[in-house]
Amino acid sequence: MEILIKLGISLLLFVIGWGFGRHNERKHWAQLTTDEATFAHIRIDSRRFETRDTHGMLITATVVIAQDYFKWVLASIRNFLGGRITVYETLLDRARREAIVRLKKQAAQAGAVEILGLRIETPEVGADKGSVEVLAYGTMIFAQKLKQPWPPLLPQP
Amino acid sequence: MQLSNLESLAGHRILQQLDVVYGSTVRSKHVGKDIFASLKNIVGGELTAYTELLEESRQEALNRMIEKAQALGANAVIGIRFSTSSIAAGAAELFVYGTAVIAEPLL
Repeated sequence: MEILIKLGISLLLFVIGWGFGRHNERKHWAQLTTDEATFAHIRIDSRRFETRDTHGMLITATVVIAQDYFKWVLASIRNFLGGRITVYETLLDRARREAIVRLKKQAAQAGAVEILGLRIETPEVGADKGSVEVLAYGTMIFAQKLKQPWPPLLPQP
Repeated sequence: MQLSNLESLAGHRILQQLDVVYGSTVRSKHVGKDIFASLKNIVGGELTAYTELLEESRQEALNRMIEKAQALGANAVIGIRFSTSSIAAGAAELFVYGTAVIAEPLL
């Protein structure tokens, strides 16, 4: 009886995870597509030896996204059998894209035109719980020289 | 204090390299947030509380680095890197380092 209840709960969570997880993921993808189009004018570059004559400032962006129960079950099965875990690949992809979008948003709000020296890190504070964390940073570059240096530590949107 | 993760400071000339400066914070999640995160782990989606936590840690690490740079009399830190390590389950260190310099704007 106890086993049946446990199995029932797991199955329920699986279905909930599948439904809501898929809904959340699709919503996020749609959001990312529009956001990426909005900030497409901000050029982005990962080279750190590049420099410009105008002024710049360090910016950072963080994202933490949780996995859902459906992904967890699928990944557990995959982990046993081996091979690509596609459900986690999409999760990481979403987190990285979101981090870059947030970086671009900050640059756009500050009036910058491009981001140089992009770096992406995954800190793993809650890795045991199966969430994905991404820290992206880079140097935003302004179109013109500033009269005053840009203040560090921009308030987060 | 000007900050950049590039090898040079845009629009400036480096007059003097002072020293490597760093700042770090070790943060843990708190129980309330942890419970909420467990619930979120069923349906997926962004963990806003953790994002804020990470943001605060990053800010604090940067602030500590800036304080050290100011103490040296620098006006900029270049070549900034962030590095992270998880010390124990639920605790993580965010470490930031860079080179404190004195820079002069180009005409």
